[in-house]
Amino acid sequence: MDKKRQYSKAPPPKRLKSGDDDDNDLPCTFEEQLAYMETDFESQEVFGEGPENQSTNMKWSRPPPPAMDPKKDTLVFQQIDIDNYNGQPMPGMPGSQLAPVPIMRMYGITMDGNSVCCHVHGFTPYFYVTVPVNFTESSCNNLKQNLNKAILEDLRSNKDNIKETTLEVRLVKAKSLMFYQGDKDITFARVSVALPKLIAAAKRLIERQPTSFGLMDPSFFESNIDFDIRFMVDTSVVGCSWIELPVNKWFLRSKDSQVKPESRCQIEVDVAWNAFIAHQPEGEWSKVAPFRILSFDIECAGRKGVFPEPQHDPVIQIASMVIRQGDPEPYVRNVFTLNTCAPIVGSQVLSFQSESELLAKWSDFFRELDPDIITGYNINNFDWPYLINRAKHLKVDNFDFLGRIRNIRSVIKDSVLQSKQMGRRENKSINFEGRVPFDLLLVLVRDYKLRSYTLNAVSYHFLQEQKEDVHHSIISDLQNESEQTRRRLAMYCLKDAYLPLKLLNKLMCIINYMEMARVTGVPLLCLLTRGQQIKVVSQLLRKAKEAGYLMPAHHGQGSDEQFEGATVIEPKRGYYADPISTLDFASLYPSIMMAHNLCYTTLVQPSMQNKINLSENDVTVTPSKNMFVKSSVRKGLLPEILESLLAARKKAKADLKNEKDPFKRSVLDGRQLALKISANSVYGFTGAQVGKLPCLEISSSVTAYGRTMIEFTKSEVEKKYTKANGYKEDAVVIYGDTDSVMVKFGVKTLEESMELGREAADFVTEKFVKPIKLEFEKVYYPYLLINKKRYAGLYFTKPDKYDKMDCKGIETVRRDNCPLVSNMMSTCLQKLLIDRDPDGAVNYAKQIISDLLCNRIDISQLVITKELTKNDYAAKQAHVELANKMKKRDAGTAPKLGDRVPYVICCATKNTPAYMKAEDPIYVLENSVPIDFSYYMENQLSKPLLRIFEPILGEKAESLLLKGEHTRTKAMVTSKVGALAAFTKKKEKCIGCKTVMPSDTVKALCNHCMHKERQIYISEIFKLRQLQEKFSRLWTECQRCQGSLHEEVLCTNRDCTIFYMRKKTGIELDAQEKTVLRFGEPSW
Amino acid sequence: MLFKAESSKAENTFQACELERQEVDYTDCSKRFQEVARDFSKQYAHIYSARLNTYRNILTPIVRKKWSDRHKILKLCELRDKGTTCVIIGTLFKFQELKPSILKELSDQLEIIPQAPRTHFVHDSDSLVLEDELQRIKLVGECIDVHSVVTGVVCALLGSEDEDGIFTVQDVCWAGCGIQKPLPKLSSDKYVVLISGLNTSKTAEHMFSLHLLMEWLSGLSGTSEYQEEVSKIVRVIVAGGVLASQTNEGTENESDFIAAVELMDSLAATLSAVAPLDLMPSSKDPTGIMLPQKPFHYCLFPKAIEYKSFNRVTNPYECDIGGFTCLGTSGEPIKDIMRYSKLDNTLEVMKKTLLWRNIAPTCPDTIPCTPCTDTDPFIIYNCPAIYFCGNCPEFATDLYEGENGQRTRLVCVPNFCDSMTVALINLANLECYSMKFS
Repeated sequence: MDKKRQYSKAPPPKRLKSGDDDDNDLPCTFEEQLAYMETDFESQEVFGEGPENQSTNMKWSRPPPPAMDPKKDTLVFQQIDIDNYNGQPMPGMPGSQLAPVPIMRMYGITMDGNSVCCHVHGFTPYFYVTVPVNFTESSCNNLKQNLNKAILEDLRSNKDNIKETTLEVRLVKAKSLMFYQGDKDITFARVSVALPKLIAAAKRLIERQPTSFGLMDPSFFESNIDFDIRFMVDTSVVGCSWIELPVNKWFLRSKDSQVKPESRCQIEVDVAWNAFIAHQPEGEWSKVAPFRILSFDIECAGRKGVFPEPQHDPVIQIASMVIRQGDPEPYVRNVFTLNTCAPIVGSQVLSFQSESELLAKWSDFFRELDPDIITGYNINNFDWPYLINRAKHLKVDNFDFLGRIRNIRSVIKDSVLQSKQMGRRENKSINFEGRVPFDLLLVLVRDYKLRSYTLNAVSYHFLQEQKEDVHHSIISDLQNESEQTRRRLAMYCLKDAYLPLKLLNKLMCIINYMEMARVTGVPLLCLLTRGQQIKVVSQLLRKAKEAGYLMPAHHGQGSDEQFEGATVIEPKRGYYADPISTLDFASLYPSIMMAHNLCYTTLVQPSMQNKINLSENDVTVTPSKNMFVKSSVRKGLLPEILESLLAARKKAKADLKNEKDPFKRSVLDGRQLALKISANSVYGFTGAQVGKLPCLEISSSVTAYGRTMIEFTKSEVEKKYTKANGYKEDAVVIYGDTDSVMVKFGVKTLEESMELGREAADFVTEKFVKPIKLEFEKVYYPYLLINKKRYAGLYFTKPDKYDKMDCKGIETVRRDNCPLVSNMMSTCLQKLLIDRDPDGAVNYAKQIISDLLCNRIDISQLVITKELTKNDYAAKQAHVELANKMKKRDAGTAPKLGDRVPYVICCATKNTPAYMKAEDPIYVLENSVPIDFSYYMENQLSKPLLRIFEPILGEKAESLLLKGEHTRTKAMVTSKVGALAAFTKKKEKCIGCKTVMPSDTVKALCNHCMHKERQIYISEIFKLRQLQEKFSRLWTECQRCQGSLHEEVLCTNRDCTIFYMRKKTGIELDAQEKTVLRFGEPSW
Repeated sequence: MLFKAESSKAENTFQACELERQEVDYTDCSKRFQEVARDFSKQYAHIYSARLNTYRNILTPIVRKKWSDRHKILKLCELRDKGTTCVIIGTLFKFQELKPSILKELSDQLEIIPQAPRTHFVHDSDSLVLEDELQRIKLVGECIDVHSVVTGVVCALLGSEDEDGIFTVQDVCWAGCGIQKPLPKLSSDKYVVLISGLNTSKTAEHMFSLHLLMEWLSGLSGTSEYQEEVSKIVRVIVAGGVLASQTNEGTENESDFIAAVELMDSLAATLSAVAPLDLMPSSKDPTGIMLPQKPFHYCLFPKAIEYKSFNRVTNPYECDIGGFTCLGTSGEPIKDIMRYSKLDNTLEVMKKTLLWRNIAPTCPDTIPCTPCTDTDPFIIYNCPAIYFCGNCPEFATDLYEGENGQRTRLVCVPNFCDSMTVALINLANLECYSMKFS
């Protein structure tokens, strides 16, 4: 609640792993590319002597593990994270017997809720390189020897003491993924090296002097694959899948075994990489283990006016909530407090006199609890770094052993990412071996476009719950007062820990992400820390491996080559009162790729066509003049991936229909969604120029097909549905975008338009290659077409009732608008579309404009909010200027870096730049500073308004809306502050006619108005009554929200709709009460 | 005896006779309603604190008497031993899903589908908590029915807290209606007339009845016998609904009131000329909407204020008429309790409020209320002899007898504009009748 929430819209940093990882992130859609760089660190694990797990509390500890015997029992668990380390070889295991060897670790949970750490031995890193024709088995040996020597020389320090770098070189026959080059296999050398990091070195050395290794112009294949992904692909393990260790194939570690346990997991075992069973997540194995999800929140006692710093400001409370995946309520609820705290019903309170003890005990609790997933709000960038740095500062030695490996400390790493859209963003990442940090903020920023990402705003948006917010300047006061005020603080803290769990549950994040991990085959953590590419790579590698292809190592070089994007049919703008049928291509891009067999493996280079004797009939030439072989010659991999994804989606959807159990339904729904997103990201992958394997021939062909198909649909529909062919009217295509076409059939009823829509969709589908399918989905009735990608309509899928109001590209969620704009827009659209009352909409807009000019709009509607990211913007910005101004007034409550600054634009002398006119809404209310209504008219309202009304009113929209009679009356507000205010003296005016009264009278009315006293009194009383009612409803609402009647409301949640209203009503009511009193006390 | 239809001495002698209007001592005891702080920078927490503090003092001896000293009275923050039976004192708060929320209404303005307005907000999921100065605790137990209590009532509960932090209630102790001043013995009949809902802004239909009422009160109708009885009316109290009745749909606009207030001025003047008149406002009348409501402003009644017997009073209103404490409201608190509970009988609700010793427990939660700071004006200090509730749909009356011999005449004063009925109470025996004018 108090803390700085730093948001990043760009994906957070990837997990830092092997050194040659050059994966770049990729946006979901091809059109908005972002490229970002990151400063890379050599991954350095920090070791120490970690403390033992303690078992102090029945509720905290996991259930004791059953006694297990590898000779009799199988061990089955769901893995949640996979990593690797360099360790000692284990006798009896495959692979090199010379230390160091890479060992994989899989962490997971059994169905009974026991934690498992499984060391997987014997998997060696490798890559492929092309060899000359005369390369023989004996050349392999030379290559091995030479490479071994070269790498050893190259290793400057060799601190790992590697004795043998190159383990094996052998020849394999395979095909390159790139281009159709006939069916002949090519020979590759498969080079296995001792450690993953040696792959990059080997590649570099070979590239530098290929001949010394007996190679000519070598190309590398699969040399840039993450080692963990490599392992998962080769063992068919997908993310969050179930692993079974068969009887006799595994070894249990215990205190007495030869190899001692090194993790904090209850069950620690060893297994050979080829001896376990990886279950595919289908049928029985689609279940989910009871993961422990911990959500926590910390409170710090900051100093006035400074953002808390771990070197100075103590952590005073940590609240934790733990839920088991699938349970409705958290089963552990506790709060660790510094100093005493009154008991809290339903939660455990643990109080400590010293902060060091608090931190130490909390980290003991954390280890004892052994959570699998850690969540919270902005924990990655605030709570974790703060805790770890604070513990370091206080020298709480064992605090940072937070991962599942006993002796590895959790360390904060910075990563900077640069994106075209967002600019520079800093993020932190922390290692928790075996646990998945799942910061809800990062999830929301990735998956949802919201006006604001504060926990308040988010919980209101998704849960319709307002959250009480306490200004950070009073946290220290609450902490220092008494055990009761600390209890109050603890309540906030607990609520902040609970909300992320509620949101996770509501949005089903964990289930959806888990299903995504299963479908795409990557670990859960990758989904949060990395982009779309790794998912496609993982799927592509799996398919390529099955089909005998190798993936070339692409050198990412940004190219500026552009190709034409998706087409839009020029919109015929206007307000359509008749039904508009919409025909959509189902999964357009995937189905194009499938229909035309577009793939890396089917692409024919122009020079190759003749060489490999391809006839005209064997190839397809795409509208972008690229050539692909037909599926009769060779079936492409991408179409195959897409087919299996879409088939799986179909199956999931069918299962969803039959499933009754709500939890299983949510799993299936998450699954079908994950499959859909994955299918769409394949196209993006081929178009990502900085990606792993871009192929512009594919992506430009796809869009070119898309364009021709839209055009084709348009001409077919317009050709067939004409009066000449016996239809009521000539059909007109009024708009078409990427994958949909809007048709006006000219019919008046929904039933008819739906019927014609269905018919047209089937008719056009016939003419396309399978599986491309044009579907009739919905009718817009009425429909307001403003421009390309800007439209609104009432969305019908069945004739009796509309499903929703659909708005695209219209000001509703933009953050730099004030709420008035989006509220007004949605009401106008509602009037236009639902009530079909254009005049009503115009009148409403006029009313709002007139209300605005007459100061009848609630100030909360006019507040614009911006985040204060740094103080030294080159260009002057309103919120920065205001923050500086507020600092001069009161440094204690002024916004700090990272705070969101709300402001309104106020009147100032002519030609004052807008950034100087920003003012704190509270200050405005208290001092009745006049608001600059014309700013709101011109800069906020006018453009969006004209946009939606121009199609209806045409040219005269502007004069009608913005210059009409309703704009003539304006309210004048006299400021209590400002240059002139000091020199003016307020004189009482007659309430009736506003004449200035003689300075010595105390009467309410002048002599001329006296005869109307009753009337004037009654109308003033009416104003008073309205304010009184509002006042009491607002404050009682806040009491209910804060959950206490006897304590004062302290909330300063500025995102809440009623925050300013509450303040404003209080001030106005006071003033009105005084006005009424001027008539004299009623009792006389 | 008044209004016996077949008066035994029904001689038709229409001769003029002078009758002296009887007088009794009268004291306005509404100071606490009049003098509340009206500082709108304050919040509602204060009124709850004041209420709880007062009740703690009231309840402690009652609890001692009821449950002896065996069980400790604890604050919620002192509840440390689970399972131990103890007594807790606090304010009830009822979670009600259907309780109207301004926050929801504001966000619904932007939604497409408007909700149908409700008049009753009870739902099966309603649940209770008890709150003291610092904490809340969830309540369960047979002996406290969530549907027959409301938010804002203070009580003492006997029970214990379980492992999950829920308090199981074994017994409840209410504050009770307090002690009553001994009722004076009267030698002759003295009547108080209670009227409500004159509703002069909507007079067309009941104008005739209104005139009958006026004539009757002024002694211009009936026989001399009859007139003599009328002369025993010592006071007329108008319990709200003066210009507009609560039952009126929608809100009245200002212009309706201008004419209505003139009519009311004349009526009040006429009435005050014949008997002392107390005029209480109610929620739709032109004075503030927050309880306690201030009296009407004098400028509204230029004619009537010429009479000393014209008394503009607060709502709620308490006075002493010849030693009988008379307390009542214009009906809002009682109606509000019915909206938020399954209690549906006005008399029963009135008894409850006596039992709870608070005439408006749901104020400020669901009734607009002045943010008082030091006191809760709604607490009943002395058990009244007459307790009335204005703006009721129909006349009803009952005699409430308290544990300590308190006797209270409960009166539901019906809306005159709908029922053409007024209530009369004979102070001599606390009997109550209705009288219809049509």
